[in-house]
Amino acid sequence: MSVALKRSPLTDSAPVDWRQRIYQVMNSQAFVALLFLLLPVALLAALKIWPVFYNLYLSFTRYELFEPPRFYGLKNYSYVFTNSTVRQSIFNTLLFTIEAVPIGTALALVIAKLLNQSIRGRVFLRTLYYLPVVSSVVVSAMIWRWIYSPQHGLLNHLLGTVGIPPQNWLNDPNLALISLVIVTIWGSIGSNMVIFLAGLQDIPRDIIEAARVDGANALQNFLLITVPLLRPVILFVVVTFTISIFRNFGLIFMLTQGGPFNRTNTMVWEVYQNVFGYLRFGRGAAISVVMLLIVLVLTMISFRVLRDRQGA
Amino acid sequence: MAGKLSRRDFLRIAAASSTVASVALIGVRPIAAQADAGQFSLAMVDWSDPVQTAFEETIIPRFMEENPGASVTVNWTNWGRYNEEMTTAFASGVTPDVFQGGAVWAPQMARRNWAVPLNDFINADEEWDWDDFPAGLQADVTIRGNIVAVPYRQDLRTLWYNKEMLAEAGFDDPPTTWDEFLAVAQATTVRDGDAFDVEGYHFSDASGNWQRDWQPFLMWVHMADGQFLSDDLTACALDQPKALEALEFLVALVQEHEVTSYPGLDPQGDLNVLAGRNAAMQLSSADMERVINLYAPDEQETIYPTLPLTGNVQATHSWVNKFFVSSQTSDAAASWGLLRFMTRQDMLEVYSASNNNTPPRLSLLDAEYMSEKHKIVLESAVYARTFPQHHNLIALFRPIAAELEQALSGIKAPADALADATSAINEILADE
Repeated sequence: MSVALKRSPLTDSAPVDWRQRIYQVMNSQAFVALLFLLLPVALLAALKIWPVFYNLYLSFTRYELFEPPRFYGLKNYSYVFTNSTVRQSIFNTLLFTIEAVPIGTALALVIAKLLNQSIRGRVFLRTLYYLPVVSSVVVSAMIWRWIYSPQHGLLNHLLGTVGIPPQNWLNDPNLALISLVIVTIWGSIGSNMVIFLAGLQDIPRDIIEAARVDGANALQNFLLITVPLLRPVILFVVVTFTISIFRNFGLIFMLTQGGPFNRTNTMVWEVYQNVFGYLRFGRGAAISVVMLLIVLVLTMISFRVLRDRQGA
Repeated sequence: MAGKLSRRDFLRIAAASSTVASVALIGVRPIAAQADAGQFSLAMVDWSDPVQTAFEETIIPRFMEENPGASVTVNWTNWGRYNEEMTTAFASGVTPDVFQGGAVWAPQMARRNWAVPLNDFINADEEWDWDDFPAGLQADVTIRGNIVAVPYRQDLRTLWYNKEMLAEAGFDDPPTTWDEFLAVAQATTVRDGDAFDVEGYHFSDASGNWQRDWQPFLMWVHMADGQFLSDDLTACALDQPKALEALEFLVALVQEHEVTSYPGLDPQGDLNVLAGRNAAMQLSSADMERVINLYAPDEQETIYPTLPLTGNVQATHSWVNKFFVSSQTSDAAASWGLLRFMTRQDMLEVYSASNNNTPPRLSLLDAEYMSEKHKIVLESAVYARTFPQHHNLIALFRPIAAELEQALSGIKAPADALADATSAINEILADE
């Protein structure tokens, strides 16, 4: 018995020339764009996204490198929140951020404002402020180690000329973190200043002029016109500066190694200690997950406080 | 025009090529150590210009001369980043065939199976005189019966003193006991109010380094006849009376007798505190002599070593640095050949002489480069104790460092500090 096949509209139409179709697809801009995107997306996935998820996985395991990771439940997170050294590292990191970010951001903004004027030597001064950014962290740290040296340091020598006794900058538990904050601000002013300069040059001059005509003095102009208009730029600087402080490892490694009395023991130093010192990868991973969450929360707070209300 | 590449075609080919190349690169396996082809890789952490010169101009060329066709690639690095470099090397499966390691590395390497046991090679090698290495050093690299490394250097710490300063204070001879030591330290200390011009005894530097205190502290524990860990390595022994005696003596030096500052004085660059005449006595290795010869030649006739002090016992500490053969080497026998060559008597002499290192071979005691001072340091070997063979010593040292800071600063009583350190260390041990 023969069965008559029902013809569909598709089969009724003329046969598709697949080779022509493939040629069309390959010849399309979208295909070329996709090919170009493939490499960066693959790299991004392999080097950025995959490690984040692998780190998350490791945080639930006990992994010491020479044996495969084994499931460890929430013990690593329990360690993070119960171990006094890790808790102190969280506190130190937050204190570091609270001390460095507002002061560093404000200083960079003021310097950018000053260097946005038509003053003699403007380019030289901008270069001078930017120099620490292009200096290696190691070189900077070595220079600051000498500046802070209790017996032979430049800073104590200068203080001595005005009768202030020498301080043990990096070994006094009350001064060590502040000493690191000073170096961090010194190292970051240049890059933040450049971002603020770009923002300042984006502010329409007619608004500033209009305010001046209305009787606003320089300080009022700065506080009531410039700063509000720079809100998105300030937000950007605050967020990136906060992240950079959470990742600040080189200075601590070179200058204090977390001491004295664990006062400069930050989260990133604690991650390093656990991973490379004790090969406790799971603990290191858990601390970095907590660190990521704290950065996210701080970023959200920054957005809430500093977001452009008009745009919101 | 036929045959001419359009811009779009060019971009397409470029994109496709880069994609293929990246996929291919991702698929490339790491290059494992290739000792079998006579291509050796060696990680050297004991870096200094003279050591590098000794290797590049004498040791490696001699090895290649004696092993035609062989070549050695040396990766020079330093202690600051060495641990991370080796950890990532093992994690990624790209390790050197032979690598240097520090004083606490043997138990770690054994536990992780990262070092090839050398017993068979040593036993089968009739020319290799293992007994030329002192028994204490052999024991230090032997973990549960497996010889996992060969020593290349021992850092024996003993008491160095400034003869002139002691003579000015009325002491013709260096101290031999803790009581004498205290008397000399008190007589040689020079203070200007709270500030020290000269520390009678320099305990540790001011530099930001968490290891600065526990290293010299362990020597005082040895002198008190105390221990860091119990013999079976399962418990911390720092809360025992002898270790406490050591810490109480040290705290008294800082707080009561004020003969050493805490944190200590800062070295002037490479010039350490004793060589810089800011201290009268310091526990140090033969490196002191190297520093004096290089940076303070005027002090060559004033600074001398003497044998270790006697507390409850006469004792000191020795850091034994070693060479390992990586478990990832493709030819352990060939790599042993390189290690064996580097640590044989004549090459070890070249190496040790280059940096005034204290050699680990008994037959080098009378080597030409060994000065009279160096021989005194070497005499200390009989009093030397090494680290306990626990695989996680670095983690165990951290609580001591934290508690020592508290005790030496006068914030915590020595007994409480050691009890807290013991408790923290026992917690880590229990978690193993």
